[in-house]
Amino acid sequence: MDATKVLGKTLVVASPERRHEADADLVIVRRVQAGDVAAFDQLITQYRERVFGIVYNLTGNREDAADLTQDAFIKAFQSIHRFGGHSTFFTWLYRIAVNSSLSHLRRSRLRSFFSLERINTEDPVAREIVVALTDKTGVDRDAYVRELQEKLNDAMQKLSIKHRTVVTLFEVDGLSHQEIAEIMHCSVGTVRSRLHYAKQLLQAELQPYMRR
Amino acid sequence: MSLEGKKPVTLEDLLRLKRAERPAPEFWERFDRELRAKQLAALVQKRPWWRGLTPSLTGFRRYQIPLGAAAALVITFVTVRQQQSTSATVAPALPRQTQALSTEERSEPVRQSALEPLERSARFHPQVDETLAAVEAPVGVEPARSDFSEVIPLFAGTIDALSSDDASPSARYIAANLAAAESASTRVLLGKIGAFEARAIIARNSAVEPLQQMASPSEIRLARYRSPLVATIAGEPADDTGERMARRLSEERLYDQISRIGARGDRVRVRF
Repeated sequence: MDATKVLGKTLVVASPERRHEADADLVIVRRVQAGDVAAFDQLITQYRERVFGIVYNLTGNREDAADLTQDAFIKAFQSIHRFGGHSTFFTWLYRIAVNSSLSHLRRSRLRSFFSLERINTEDPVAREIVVALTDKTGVDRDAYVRELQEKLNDAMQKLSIKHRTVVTLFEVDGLSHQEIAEIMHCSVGTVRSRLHYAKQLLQAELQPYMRR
Repeated sequence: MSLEGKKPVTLEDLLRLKRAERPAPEFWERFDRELRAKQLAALVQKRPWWRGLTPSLTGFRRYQIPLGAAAALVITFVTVRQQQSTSATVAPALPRQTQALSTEERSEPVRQSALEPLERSARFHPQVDETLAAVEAPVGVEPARSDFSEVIPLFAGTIDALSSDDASPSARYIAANLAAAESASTRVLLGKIGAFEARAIIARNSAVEPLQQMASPSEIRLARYRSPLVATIAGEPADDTGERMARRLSEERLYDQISRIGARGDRVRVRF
């Protein structure tokens, strides 16, 4: 069964990997809908880190991100019988997680406690960027990275919820404009304009840390 | 060591750093345990009754704006209809009140109520006949507005004539009734000139019946025979015992006594 063509509609999937991923997800979903509830654990294992990453970058709080990620999976499990395949399971799950995060942010607008994860400097991409930013080593470099991380989080929190969501989905999670538009129920043009505006604001905030 | 020659760092690179913000593996073990516990709790948790409605209502999501607009229109329509029905129940009462306060209906009862004591009193005092003949018009004819201006001076002259000190009690009663009628007529004129509220006040004030100011014929007869007869029967000074005896004596008994005793000139006749 081709997940990209469901009910006569052609779903836009960013890449072949995503297309293959969507097909596999649909098979698992059909099994869960048929009664094999244990199959849902495969979906949890597959998407928990990505969902957590999105929620964490939206909220800036590790504990809240864990709770919201768990709530998103529970809602998806309770509503799995209503998944009709109009979108990929990945998009459908992301939409639940983003909506839960947005609701949480609106409820706790007056209070915001940031609890940041440590940047894994062993990651090749992260290491390359840190090396390009500073020549410091050891403890000094860790302190510099910590300071940079807090500055990044502050700049992201200054964005509106919608702009922050677009930046997170595009820059952090690597989704396409079309996929972001499906998750956020808006047009591709809206996604592009929000992304451009958010980047302008972030550029002004993070200018001291950038080098051309 | 200088940073020149190093790779430039862009905004996208900085944002890509956030991908490296990942929790430790121990975090995911605790995450799975907590998720399992929450799943079991969700299974035993009683869902609110309205949760079962949401699947059936999901199909109406695309129609939420038209449905909402239709609901608002229906509520507005029902509210307006209720207000109209409320005002309709009040409105019929108002014309009735207005009719009661209109010139024609106000003038007729006042005029007729003013005339009734005059007609009664006419049997006792001949001067009233002239007044009645001048004032009384055919009942079915509605008086024009100018009639009242002609009637009032007529009443005024009659009142002066009847309220003099040497007039009989009945004449004084008639004078009082005429005064009441005059004041009612005056108020009618004022009401015609004035506002609706003034007419409403007139309607209430005109409820004072001239009959209430007038004694009944039986009381008049009692008063006429009270002083000399009671004094004769009881042998007491009339001014002291007259009222007491009049109260004790019923009218029937009084007539019986009168028929047995006759007085003419210097003779008193008693029948047994």
